[in-house]
Amino acid sequence: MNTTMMIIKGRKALWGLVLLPVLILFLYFRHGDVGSPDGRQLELQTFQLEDGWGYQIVMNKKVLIYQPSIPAIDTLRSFPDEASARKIGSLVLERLKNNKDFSITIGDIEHSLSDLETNDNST
Amino acid sequence: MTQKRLFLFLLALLPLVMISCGDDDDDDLIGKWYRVSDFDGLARSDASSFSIGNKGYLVCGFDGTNRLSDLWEYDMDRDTWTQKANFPGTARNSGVAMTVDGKGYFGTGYDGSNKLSDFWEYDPTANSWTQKADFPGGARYDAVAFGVSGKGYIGCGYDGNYLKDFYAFNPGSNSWQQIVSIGGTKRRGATSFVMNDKAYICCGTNNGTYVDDFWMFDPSTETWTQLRDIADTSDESYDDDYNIVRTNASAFVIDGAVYLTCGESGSIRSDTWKYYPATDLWENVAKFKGTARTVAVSFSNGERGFVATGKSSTYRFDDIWELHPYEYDDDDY
Repeated sequence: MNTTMMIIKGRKALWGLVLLPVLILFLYFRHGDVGSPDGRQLELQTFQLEDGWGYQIVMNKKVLIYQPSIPAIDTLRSFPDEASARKIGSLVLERLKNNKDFSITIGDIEHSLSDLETNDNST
Repeated sequence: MTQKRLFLFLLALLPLVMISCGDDDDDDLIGKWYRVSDFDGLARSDASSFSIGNKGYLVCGFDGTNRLSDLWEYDMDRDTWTQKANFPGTARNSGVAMTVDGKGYFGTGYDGSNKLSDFWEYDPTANSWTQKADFPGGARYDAVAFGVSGKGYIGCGYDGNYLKDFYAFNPGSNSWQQIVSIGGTKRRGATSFVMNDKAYICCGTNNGTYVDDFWMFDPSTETWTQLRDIADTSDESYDDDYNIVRTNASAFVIDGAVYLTCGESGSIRSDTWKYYPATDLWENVAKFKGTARTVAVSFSNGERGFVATGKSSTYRFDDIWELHPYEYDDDDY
């Protein structure tokens, strides 16, 4: 009785020894996938300016894209609020993560910042 | 036994010894290339660029599928990118750009089915584009351009034929005027640079031949002067090692000297040449450290120089490199 229990325990321990490295490896690679295939650490940050908001994309702790003004359109204006800066910044971040062309188009601005466009027309 | 061990030890060291001996050729070439801000995702070729102060501007280009119309500003001090106002004209590649009095100018090129002749001004202080008078030389791409002494110049290129005509744009009057054509051969894919109020044109191809004649333009007299060939064409020894001819090269100015790199001539090039205008001589310096490439763009503020994007066969790049011309690189590459 005792010996069979010990054998079973021993087998469990063995399985544990085999599975543990596999689990560690799995978690390690899974973690890598979340960032990006090549281990890029990407982060979106918003910041406040005198007259509005901007965003920056930080890659591996270094600022890659510094965006104090609204991209794509003819303007020097910053984003009117934190939410709009975050919205466009998130688009860039998503595309970067998916290795897509992350340039913002005028369509993106019109789609995401429809309020802003209305304001723009009234001013 | 110990002798056998010693022999095995030495045998193991042999590859190391061979490696360290093998790459001495390049070690004495001055210059060190640094990879700066990665730009993953914006890979493209045949883009155009102009520099204003410490900012480099990258506009349009081809990503292998689509012609692009975005404009990005690279800040040399911060080493960051900012997306600016999209180019409002047709998305294109192989256009030309230049800087005149703090504004960027961009025109000509190819949209995938049409050659183009429109011409635009970018004002960085307003972040806005304005269309200007069309380039009068006719639609073309792979032309060459420079801005010097208050005017912009475009010439050469390809419109179905190789070209050598040249035109000057006056921003004050928004008008073009034909000037004397560049001497020597017609060419496309040429390279220009500006130093001390003179413009220089070299490289390019003419009907499959890599051209070796090299020209300087003096805007005060609107005349061209032929300089020494950039190939081993003389009886003298200064040009014996010249291996400069190529097309679609990139060039930038640092401290009164020009650095010409990348491009293609049968194969993709990475060797880099430094030009001294005072002596009209070229010197081979440290080769480009990124993957060899062609149709890249360059930025320069006169003190620093960068090469970005470009392609090698069908692979397009998104990295950017800076040359530190007075350092040596210990790496073998």
